[in-house]
Amino acid sequence: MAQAAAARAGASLRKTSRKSLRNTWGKSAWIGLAFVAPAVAFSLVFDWYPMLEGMYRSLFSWDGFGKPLFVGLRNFADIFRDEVFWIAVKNMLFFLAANLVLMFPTIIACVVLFRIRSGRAQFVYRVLFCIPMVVPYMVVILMWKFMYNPQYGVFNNLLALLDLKELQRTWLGDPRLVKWCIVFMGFPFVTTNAALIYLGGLKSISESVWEAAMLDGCGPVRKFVSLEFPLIAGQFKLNLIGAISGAITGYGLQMILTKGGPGHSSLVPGLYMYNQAFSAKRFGFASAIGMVLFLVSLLVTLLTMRFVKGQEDIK
Amino acid sequence: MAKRMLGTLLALALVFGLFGAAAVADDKAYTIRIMSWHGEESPTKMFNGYKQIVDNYMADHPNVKIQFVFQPMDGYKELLDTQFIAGSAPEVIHMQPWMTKEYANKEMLYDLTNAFHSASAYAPEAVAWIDTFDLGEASFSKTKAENKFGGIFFLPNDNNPKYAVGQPMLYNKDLFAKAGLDPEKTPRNWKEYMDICQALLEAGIVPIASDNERYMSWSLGQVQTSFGEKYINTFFSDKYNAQGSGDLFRDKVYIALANGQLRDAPYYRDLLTIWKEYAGYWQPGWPGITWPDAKTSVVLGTVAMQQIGTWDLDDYTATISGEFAWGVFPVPVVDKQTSEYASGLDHAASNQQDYGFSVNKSIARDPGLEAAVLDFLQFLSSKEQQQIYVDIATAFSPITGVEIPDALAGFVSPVELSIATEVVGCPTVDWSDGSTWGPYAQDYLTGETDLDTFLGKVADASQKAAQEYIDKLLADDGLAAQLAAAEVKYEELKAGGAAQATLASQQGVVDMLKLRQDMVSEYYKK
Repeated sequence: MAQAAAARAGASLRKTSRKSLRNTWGKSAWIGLAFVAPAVAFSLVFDWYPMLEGMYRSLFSWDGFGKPLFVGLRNFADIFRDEVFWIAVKNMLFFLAANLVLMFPTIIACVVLFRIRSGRAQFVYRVLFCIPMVVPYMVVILMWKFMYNPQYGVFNNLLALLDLKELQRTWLGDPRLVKWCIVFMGFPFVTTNAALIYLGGLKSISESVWEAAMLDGCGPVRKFVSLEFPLIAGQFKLNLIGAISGAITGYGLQMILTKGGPGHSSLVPGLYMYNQAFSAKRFGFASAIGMVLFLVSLLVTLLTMRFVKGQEDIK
Repeated sequence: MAKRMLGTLLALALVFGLFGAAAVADDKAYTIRIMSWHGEESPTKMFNGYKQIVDNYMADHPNVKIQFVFQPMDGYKELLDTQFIAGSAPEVIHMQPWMTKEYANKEMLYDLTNAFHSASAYAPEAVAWIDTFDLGEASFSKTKAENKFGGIFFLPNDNNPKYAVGQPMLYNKDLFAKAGLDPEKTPRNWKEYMDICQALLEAGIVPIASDNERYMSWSLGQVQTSFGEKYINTFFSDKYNAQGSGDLFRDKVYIALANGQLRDAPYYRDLLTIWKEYAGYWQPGWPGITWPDAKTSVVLGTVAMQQIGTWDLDDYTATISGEFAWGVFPVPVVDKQTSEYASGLDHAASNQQDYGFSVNKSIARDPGLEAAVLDFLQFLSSKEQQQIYVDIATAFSPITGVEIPDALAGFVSPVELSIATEVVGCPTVDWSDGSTWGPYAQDYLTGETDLDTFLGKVADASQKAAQEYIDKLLADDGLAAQLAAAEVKYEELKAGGAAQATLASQQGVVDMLKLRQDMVSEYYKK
């Protein structure tokens, strides 16, 4: 009796939820879901499946072809005993710190440019910001690689021209300079994508805020510290998360520019993961490195979201 | 095991059914994809050579369409890995020797052995296709010993087992003259070579263009070729060191490495010190330089020498284009003037086929496609097509009677020195973990770490890698399975009335596998 009542209640609930979905969204809800479905499906196949597969593979010793051998958490234990991995982590921390510090030139540039009120000038700087976006990043990296060449690169030739041969260096071939060379590659450290996000944020702030600041006699520094930066904290948080996860998991730049060398002096964990998979044929071990990087990146991102407050968080 | 055996038998039955029937049997349309690191935009002319052969073949066989799949060497293996895993690898694949060995053992490749023992439609004068190759059946013994099936998994191309072909040094004669050197006098031994490098350096000229990629292993190869000839035999009994047991060489080195007996051979310190001194003549900043950048330095005339391969010749000829006078000389060997341990000898010609085109095992699923692929490969390796190929590509050919272009003479090592066999060199370094020995070597060669630290790090990695290799030989699908498969194959050949030479060859494979099995169980100390 009770079972029948429960079944009736269940059926009624299902009916109500279907009805409620129809009532709430109407016919357009199904159309909307149909539009979202491909994205969800692709995300499941190309984002979630590889991630879950990676988690699974990290528990095996596998050369990519043969029968995988279950090794439990041994790959993870091996990571923490691996001297090269820790060298890579140290390098990664260097790049992470550099990435964080070098976020500020973009913010400052955006604030300065935002203060230009001329419509024509605004158009010019926006175009100037956007033009570099159409140059593929790969081309930019290869151009810098060419410039760093000790024999025929721009830097050493320029130094020779200025009679400063004693300052010539081997740049990417010098283990003490290579990391700085990689960081310098972003000069003048104004990132187009980030800049557009900041400018969008500044543009969305009500004019009355700036008028009030002007009436209060707010100076340029005070204006930046008390108004502009706090008001784009949400955009800063977004770019911060990108910079952190990029530094922790990224390796494309090092792979193309230095292959992690000289020695291991510019190796980062992501590149080490790639090398272990495709050079050393240790796919299980590489998957375990990938998992560690994913977890670290996730943790740092969560901490960032917890402690860096944007305007919408404050509201 | 039973399933695998059944699979092998079925595959054999299928192949036997096609004996002597390589020619395309029907007019059905077939598409064959050929993957290579030589493409239309490559600096070599290899692609032009292959294309000419393909065009010739398609003109005669309108129902067969042949497409090229180009992937530069950078990323080649990675792409192949994913293609094989996805089941979409091309039908015919250009492979380096180590790739053939790896994919054959992973059961991804088609065993060409039986096709080689049947007649070629394009060489009516030969009893079997294999007889058209220089040194015939004997030149395939190494490759047969390197895979667990004792089979032949590639069609040789671009090389010839009779020649000791090296990668010579290309040198800028104008820069030699500028340094007060006689441009026509090339070094005959390592000491003279280093004297030339020193003279160039003192004249303010960078002697050698190096890079952080291929030259790392090539330069080590240059030095180690004169060290440790037959040194490996000191660890094994006469049974395994007898003449003709050269096929055991790799296994012996792996066993000794796995046992820790090769962590520090008496001659290592001399060898590695010479290597480091040599690195002192490479262009500054070489650990940050890729091969194309190093080449640019040579072409611009800022560096005096660079080691090149046969495949680079056309590219350098076109790029230098009369900007300066240049020539090539074989890399000199290290002799007693430099080290008491050095032999002063270069590698003997291997007498073995080395690499070429492998075939995707999946073609066996379609007998028509299988016949088309085999027919095309026989056409490709016919004497007439090979002559066309070497003339276009400036390459060697493995086929008897094909004349080699004059431009390649400088790549053949001097016959009087090329007699060293079973050269051990320093496997502790270059048989180590592929992803870490290079960076460790960079640190050593640039003075960031000392010899002991370097040797300790690579020795650990190479010992571990060797242990993994031997463990695989001892696994269920290792030597024991190979031996069982080879014995089954022998019986099948016998039952099929195969020629005496074919039976003898297969018996040789069985005997070699038994010898390998005995040696591993006798000497490997887990």
